[in-house]
Amino acid sequence: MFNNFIHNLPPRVFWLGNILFWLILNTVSADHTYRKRNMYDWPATWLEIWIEYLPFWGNWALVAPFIIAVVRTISAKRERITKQVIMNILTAVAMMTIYWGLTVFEVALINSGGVLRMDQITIAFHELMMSPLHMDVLVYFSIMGLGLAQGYYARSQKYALQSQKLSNQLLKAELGILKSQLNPHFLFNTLNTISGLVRLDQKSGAVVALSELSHMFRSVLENQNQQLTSLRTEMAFIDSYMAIQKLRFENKISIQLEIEERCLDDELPFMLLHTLVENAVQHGSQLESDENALILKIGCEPNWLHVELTNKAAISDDHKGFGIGLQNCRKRLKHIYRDNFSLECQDLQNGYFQTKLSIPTGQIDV
Amino acid sequence: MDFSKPRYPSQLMLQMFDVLIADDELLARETVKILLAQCDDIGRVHETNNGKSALELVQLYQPQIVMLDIEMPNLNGIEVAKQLPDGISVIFITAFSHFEEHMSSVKCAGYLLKPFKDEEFFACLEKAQVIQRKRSEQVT
Repeated sequence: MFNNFIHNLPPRVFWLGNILFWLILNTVSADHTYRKRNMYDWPATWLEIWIEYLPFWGNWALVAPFIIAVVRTISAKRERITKQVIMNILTAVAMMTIYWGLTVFEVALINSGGVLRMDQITIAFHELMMSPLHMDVLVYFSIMGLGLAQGYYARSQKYALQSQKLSNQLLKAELGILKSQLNPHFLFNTLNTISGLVRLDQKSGAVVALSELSHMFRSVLENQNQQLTSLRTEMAFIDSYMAIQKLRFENKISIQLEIEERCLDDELPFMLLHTLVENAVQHGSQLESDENALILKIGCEPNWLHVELTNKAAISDDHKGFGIGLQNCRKRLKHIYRDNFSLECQDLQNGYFQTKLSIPTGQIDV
Repeated sequence: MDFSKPRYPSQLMLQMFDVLIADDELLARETVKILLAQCDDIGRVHETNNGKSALELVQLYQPQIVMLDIEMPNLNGIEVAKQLPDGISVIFITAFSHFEEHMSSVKCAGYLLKPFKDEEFFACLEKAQVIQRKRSEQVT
């Protein structure tokens, strides 16, 4: 029953704290009365008064946890407000009856000196009636308030956790969408190229295209659930892609690689470079001129990977397609590295377009 | 069944059709040329790898049938089709997945989605030839 209330406190600590709290109140109250009685010449020892008060304050230590638990349970059920009020009133009546009953019983027990006598119960009842009952009601409301506050706090914590979970899921879903996928257009074009090679009886070309395409699909299958992959894997993927594109466009498309050997084990988002290269190839293939070599330079320093891709672009080109690819890359990078990366594109004005990317390669939390 | 040769009613006089192929991929053009070579009633075949020169070649050679790729340098297939003079039958050959959405804006005799089977190619070509034959009957 108290599990919710004390879920972050060991039960022993909770009960000890609870009892200590009411004993302190009992002591403060008893001390106050002791000094007052002495002033009005109605002497009693300090201990006598302390014991006399114990049934009044001490019983709260027994009842308060129940009150809090019940009040929390009622508020957690989220019934209509009228129903909640009625249930709280009923609880209050029940709890106060228990509390007063316990008090009368204990006072009578103390007064009869160990063996309970019936006449002492009547006297204790009268004593209770003379005591400040409104204070008991006030104490009850304080405890009830604490219970409600506890309930609301726990619920807000739960909602915060839920919303955190949801936003994490959303983030993951967004990442899934942004994750590069093999362009279906590329797939159909490649299949068409293969069927063309077969029709033209160029068997070896068809076999190359099929095996490179298989390599690409295998790579996608192996890496699709991982956010990051090694540069080595990414470059193998790009090599396959370029081999197929060379079959399609012959010398119109080629790639010039300048990659530092030591960077090959650095990690980067899978198919991120591929997206940049594919964009560049698509633009190159749209040019009338032959020999549209892409230049891909990759270097690294401790914890950083730097990529520079230069490609020819038509002067009239509005880089529209390029823009969408780059936007997705940027979103994806933001998800993974937050602001700890740089992606810049520049029209070099001489018919060339340059994309520069820098990403951290050390330990990152994906 | 032998699909390598389209069958026409034998009493019809064999009319020859000139064809222009516009595709930026050499292999795709070669494929189409091989298939066209299997037809009896195909006349001259011209080819180009971009949209702009496709329009120029149409002016120059006045083919009856034009086979267009969608993604081409400097002018895409849809734009080329819009600027073609009336009376030319257009066949789109494309790998575009959402091709139908774009097609509504232009008139064409048919379209082929890459990669396609031989019989699909011949059926599409025949549709264009039927249109052209009807047209020439109306003229005469």
